[in-house]
Amino acid sequence: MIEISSDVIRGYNDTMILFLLLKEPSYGYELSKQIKILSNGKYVIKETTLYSAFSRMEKNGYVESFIMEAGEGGKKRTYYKITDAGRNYYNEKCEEWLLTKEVVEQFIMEENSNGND
Amino acid sequence: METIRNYLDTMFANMPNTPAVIRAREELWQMMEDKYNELIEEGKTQNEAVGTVISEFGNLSELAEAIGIEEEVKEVEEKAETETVPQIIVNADEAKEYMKDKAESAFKRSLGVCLIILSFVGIIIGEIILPESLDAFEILFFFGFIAAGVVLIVLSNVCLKNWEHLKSDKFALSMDATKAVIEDKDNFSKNRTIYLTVGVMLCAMCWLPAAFLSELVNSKYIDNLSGAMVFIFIGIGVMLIVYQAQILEGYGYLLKTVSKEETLKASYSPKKKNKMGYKSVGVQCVMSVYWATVTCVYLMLSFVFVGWLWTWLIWPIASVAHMIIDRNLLVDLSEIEQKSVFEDEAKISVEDEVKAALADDSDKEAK
Repeated sequence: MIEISSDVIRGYNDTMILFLLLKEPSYGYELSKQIKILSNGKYVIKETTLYSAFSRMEKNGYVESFIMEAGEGGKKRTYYKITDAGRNYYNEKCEEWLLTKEVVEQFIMEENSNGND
Repeated sequence: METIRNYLDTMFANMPNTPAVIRAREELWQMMEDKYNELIEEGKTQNEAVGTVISEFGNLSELAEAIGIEEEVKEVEEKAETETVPQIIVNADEAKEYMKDKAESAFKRSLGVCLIILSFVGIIIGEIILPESLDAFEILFFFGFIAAGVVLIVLSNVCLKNWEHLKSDKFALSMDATKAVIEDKDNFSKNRTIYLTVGVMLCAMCWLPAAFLSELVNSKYIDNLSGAMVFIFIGIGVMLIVYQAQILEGYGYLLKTVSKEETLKASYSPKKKNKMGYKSVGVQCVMSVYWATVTCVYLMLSFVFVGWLWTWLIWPIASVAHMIIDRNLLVDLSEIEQKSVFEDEAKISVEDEVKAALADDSDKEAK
């Protein structure tokens, strides 16, 4: 089974996290779970990758962190929320991806169509 | 769970203890714990859950880059290559054990110092018990006390013999231990203030019994006794001061590998007080010269009215006044700052949540 290449997806971890944070502030594990669900289990983000992304984006001002008690357990967690700069960055990344996809797609051929032609 | 914690501790054992690293470790632990709990809830066995959590953890070099400690990590790695001394991880139980031994050592040492000071009392007691005897007895008392004191001080070092291996600076506190030690230290600070206050008071008032006794009765016995009382007061006072300083040193020793402890506290446990101050600048100005003023008043009253017998009352009165002022006007400045920031954030997040909920509803209606 082919696995997703971590080199390629690295540039878009931020995009996925920001997408989820657009809806509401959230914390580490919840985000990693959402990513897994939305990718149909095809991409599992590593804890260190996730935290690295948080800390990098916080440094760049794309997200802000705050400590809040989670509803049920009352356990204290670090929540992240997106900033305006984060929203802009997210939009840029989306455009960048569309462009990337458009370009790379020109060079992709599906084996089936090739074989049948 | 224990396995995961150990795994994380081992991963971080060679990392420098900067606030960024401590925060990273704390956050990663949070995520791993959450994941583990959910896997267990899903009906996985403990082993399976631990396996999944550890296999999905990732690697630290990536993290080092993101939190800007590549150089430190490289340094540590290079050092580890050249020096083969293994890193020792001190867990919470060991830390507790260490503090227990340290307390025993502190007690012996402070008692030793006390005995050396009391050696003068030995002479005086010798004089009281055997007034007609030779000076040799007094000298015997004198050196007996000093010898006992020195022995105790030597013994105080023996108490810590089990911990020699920590002297190499090559130890790190585990996550649990760091938390526990910081907490214990905070708890101790209350007792510490009492030890210190009583100790200083005793030293400052050492002449009090002498002044009283010689005023009331006039005999050679009492004279000797009041002389002894001066040393007893100082001895006990110094003992208390030494004791608390030693305990504090113990905590400092354990925590020395945790750099910038204050930053850690500020970012991770907002409950803890770390920046006490007065709200109004005026009060702050007055309070900064409080004890200096009290001392001036004390000396002036004493000299002007030659009232040494009663002017000392200023000290307890001033202490009580200080306590009342502190209780009413002293506030935790950092908490105020933090609270306002926190409230802002909470407000925004609640707003976002409400918006999200509304959006969901309208989506449903549209469908």
